[in-house]
Amino acid sequence: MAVRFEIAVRMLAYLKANNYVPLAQVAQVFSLSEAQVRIYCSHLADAHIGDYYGELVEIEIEDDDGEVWISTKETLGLNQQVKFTTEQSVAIIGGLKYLESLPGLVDQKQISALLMKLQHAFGDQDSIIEIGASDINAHIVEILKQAIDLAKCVRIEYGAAIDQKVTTRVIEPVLLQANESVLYVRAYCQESQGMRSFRVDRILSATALDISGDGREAAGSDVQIAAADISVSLQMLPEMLESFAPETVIESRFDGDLMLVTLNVTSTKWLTSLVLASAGDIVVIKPESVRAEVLARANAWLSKHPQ
Amino acid sequence: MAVENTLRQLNLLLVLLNASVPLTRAQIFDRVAGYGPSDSEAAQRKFERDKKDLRSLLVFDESNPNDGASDTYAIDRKKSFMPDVPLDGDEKFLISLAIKAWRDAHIGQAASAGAVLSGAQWLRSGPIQAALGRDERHLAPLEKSILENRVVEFAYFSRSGGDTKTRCVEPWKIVLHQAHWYLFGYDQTVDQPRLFRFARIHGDVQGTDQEISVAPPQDIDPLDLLRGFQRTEAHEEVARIAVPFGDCANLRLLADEVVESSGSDVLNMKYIDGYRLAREIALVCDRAIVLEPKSLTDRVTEIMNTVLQVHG
Repeated sequence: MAVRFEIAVRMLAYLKANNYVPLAQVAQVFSLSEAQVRIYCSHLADAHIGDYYGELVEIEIEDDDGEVWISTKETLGLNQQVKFTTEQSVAIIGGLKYLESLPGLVDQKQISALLMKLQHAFGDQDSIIEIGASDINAHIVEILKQAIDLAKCVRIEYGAAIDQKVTTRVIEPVLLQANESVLYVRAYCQESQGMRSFRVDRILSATALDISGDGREAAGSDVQIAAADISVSLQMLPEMLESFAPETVIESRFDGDLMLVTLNVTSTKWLTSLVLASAGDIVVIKPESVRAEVLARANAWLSKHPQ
Repeated sequence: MAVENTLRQLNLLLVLLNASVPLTRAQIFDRVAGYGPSDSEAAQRKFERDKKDLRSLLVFDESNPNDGASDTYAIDRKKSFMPDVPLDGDEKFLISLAIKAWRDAHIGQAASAGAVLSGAQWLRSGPIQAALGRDERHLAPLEKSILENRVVEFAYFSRSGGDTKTRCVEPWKIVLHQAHWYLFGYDQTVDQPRLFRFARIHGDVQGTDQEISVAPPQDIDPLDLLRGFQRTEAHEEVARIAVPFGDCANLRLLADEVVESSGSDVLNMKYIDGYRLAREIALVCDRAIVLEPKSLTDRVTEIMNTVLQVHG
């Protein structure tokens, strides 16, 4: 097994800061097996200065009621954390700035203070990653967070992306999931009788209910989503490909500066809405029925708004 | 073999950290097990390799006196170690959440750092998950080039020009704004700072050997630039849009006020980005009716005419 110098040094500092720590925890923290952690500890314990001063590191691994613990009595001369590499600092600061950009998800004051503290510790370098605040309604996020903490239900008015219809639902939230700038709440939906993910920025209103959720235990599976079985061919600007989930794209290739894309969709209503809003950046090649739907909807606008 | 090397490097590190004065190479070979005879070529080779490995993690001071005295070696403690950063449990959890959010090459770089800072909180899971940088293949090469101060090249589609050209860019920052990633840098082709949307980069970003020559401007915030692009109106406008009951959720989400009228709701909303609002209306163009202003109606009509035109 290759024992990496950097991991050995960081593990030593970690053990010093977390004396008497379960072996399993160290293994998980450093993404190593317990056997590998034992090898690292053994080599750390072997470190010494010639014959002058004896051992520099004292590490003991002991079995206590079936759990294995590591205790560290001495790490002579290495009691502080080694500075992080620039890449590591960038990742930590960038990740924290990301959390800061999601209003209400975490305590904003706390994360700003933490960012200042760490940026100072890392040497006050300019961050190379900047993240703009997301359009998230912090009040709604707070209601969802409280409902998760208290295992209560929330009534939401939700706008479905597929047809823009507004529905009222009672949900039992269990998890908030941020993906880039978009926040989802994973919840048991009493109307659909299954687990669903709702985009938080599509929740028009949320009301906390003093009703305990009881559907979660029964919620073994997700709500079945209609199969994406409508095949369409589109021509589009490459950046428009971001609008489609990667798993729905069957084929994509460049045609000059544009892309030709074949994909399967669930709803032509959703697709035609996207095509209309793209202002010409997405063109339906086939089937003809979807082209006709786009034309009919565009003409409906023109007939209601004559020049 | 790797174990022996690492143990010797650990010994070297601890010997240097515990020395009260910088040590000569002979003193190091004497105190650190694993080098063998100090006059052997193998010992010199091993020492050179160890110096390199230590330098990847720590600041290694090497004196090269001109007076014939031996070179000496020491670890610069101040530059090598972080000051103590007292962190409470919640802060440690936030750090672990921040690092675990990364879904690209960052995580490999940052995982050990995050684990060290977060301690046991690294293992905690909670009702919040975050994901950042998924499927963004340009992130890692751009970050590398920024940190190395190197110019990058890539093929880029220009919306205004309608074509794809190679751009040479001095990269400064990576920006995430409203779910889109951008590079902010100095475009050598036009001698101006520019923002480049990742989704318009064709193929891979290529690093070059050319060093950047223009420092990032202190007075330009790329996020301000991106927010500025959204300002299509000279001043804030107010729109009135009639929509069916229980429909047009996307417009309702933007409304400041919903007034029930005969047979429909009327949404009142302030806006500064008429183009974005027109696109939102286009999503529900067969059900929404813009009552005012006419400029907004015209924008949507323009979109509809374009859609009809490109569909022949």
